Amino acid sequence: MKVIKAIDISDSVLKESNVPYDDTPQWSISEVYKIGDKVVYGRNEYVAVNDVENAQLTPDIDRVNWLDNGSINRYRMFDNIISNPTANDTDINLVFEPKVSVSAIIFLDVFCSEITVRVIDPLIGVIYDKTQYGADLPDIKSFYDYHNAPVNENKKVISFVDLPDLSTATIEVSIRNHERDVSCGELLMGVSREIGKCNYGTVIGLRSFSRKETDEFGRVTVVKRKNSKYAEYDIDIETKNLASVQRFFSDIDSVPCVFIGNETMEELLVYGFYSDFQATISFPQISKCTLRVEGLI
Amino acid sequence: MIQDFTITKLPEPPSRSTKPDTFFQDSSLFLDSLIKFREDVNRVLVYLNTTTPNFWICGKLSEPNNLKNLELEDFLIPTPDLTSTEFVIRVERILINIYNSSLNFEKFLNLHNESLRNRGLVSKSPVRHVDYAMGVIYPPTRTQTPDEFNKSYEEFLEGFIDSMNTTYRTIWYLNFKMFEEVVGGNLKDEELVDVLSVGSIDDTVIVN
Repeated sequence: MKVIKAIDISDSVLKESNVPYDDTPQWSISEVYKIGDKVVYGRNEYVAVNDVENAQLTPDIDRVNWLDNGSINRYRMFDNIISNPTANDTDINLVFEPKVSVSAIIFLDVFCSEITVRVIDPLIGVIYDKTQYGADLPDIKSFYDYHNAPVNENKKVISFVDLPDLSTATIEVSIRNHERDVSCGELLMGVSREIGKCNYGTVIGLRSFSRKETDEFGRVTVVKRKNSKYAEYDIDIETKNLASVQRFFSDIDSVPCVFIGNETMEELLVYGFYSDFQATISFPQISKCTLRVEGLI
Repeated sequence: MIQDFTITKLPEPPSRSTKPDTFFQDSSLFLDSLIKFREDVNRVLVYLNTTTPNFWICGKLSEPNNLKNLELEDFLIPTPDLTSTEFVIRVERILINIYNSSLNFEKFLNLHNESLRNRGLVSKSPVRHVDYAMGVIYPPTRTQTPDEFNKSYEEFLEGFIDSMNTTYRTIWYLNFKMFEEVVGGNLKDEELVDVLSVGSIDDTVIVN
């Protein structure tokens, strides 16, 4: 069972991106804006809800005159909203200089044929170079299997959890699709911490925020909204490590993290907040724990 | 004798990793196209085996259009101990190389046809042996059982590599340039005899 506390991907971390800026103009203090005008300030787009002139405040602070419309396309994959992806023609190429240790990179709600991650040491050069594929392949062990086995829907979650831990490294990411648009809901990176072993008995689920209302005549009205994952992990933690794990959870309280029950099972990966951590010191060596995590949309 | 050969153009190969939406259509089309492609290739090979004069390994040769021979590693047969991802990568590499070879094959034939039209044939030598191609085995078809399909696939690849390489060698030798300053294109009979009589031919020296 791994937990990754994601680092903030600010402009000092994200050095390059081939995703273009939107056409929406940058906000300017000297401009006069009418209701409905859109501007970009920082990473977000804002819509004027009143006429604005002689602005005293920037749009991110001026909640009276400006409505926050969310991140622009270039930055949506860093906005903590998984269902709000960054999209581009055929590829998204990024360069990061985190300046802190990073041992894992996770791509959520990604639509692609392959992702390559390279880690470059400033002195040695490339020290990590791996590609993972978006295809969720069935068991293929022969030419016959290759041509006849079913084609599954592409994976939505791709994880690289074995990066060399080097705070001076540059990380290059390339997300590609063959002759199709590529998109990524969220890109997260951080240090992966092993806390214990995830057991059978773990429960996973989806919470729907859609509304289905039935009137007195039996007619149903549906308001479709997003949904989010949740999980109740059943974990064995070595009793001697329990105190340090408890301190770790105290540290990540109300911090969105990636929780990975098993690296090969996409369904056991949840990005969100933990709502409850409980441990029973069952045996001298092993404590039985439950961890409830609520995913983000 | 000059022959104009047409070669069936193979469609782009299928890919589970990059084109999953159209995989089954692409796969059917590709496998079905191999049948006609095989017939065309074998027709060319029969012509080369029986009609084309011998070829020489002599002097300094340059490769026309830099079309390289197929290497076995380009067609490395994947084994069942690989993970599904590794297996798929290997198969897709093979399919791309078959597709690229089909494009190169047509180029080679066009070059050969043009050379024959423009410059005539190089005369036979009673000394060198003809390099026969084994021919392309029937490709796998989807009506076969899994075991038959897999066996056909491997045999097809073996014959394909041999046939392509033999064709390239044959046409290459027929279109060599011997010393840029001597002749800027293919040799005529008398030029070949002249060079041979000089005694400077070394049949192991082949330079790209």
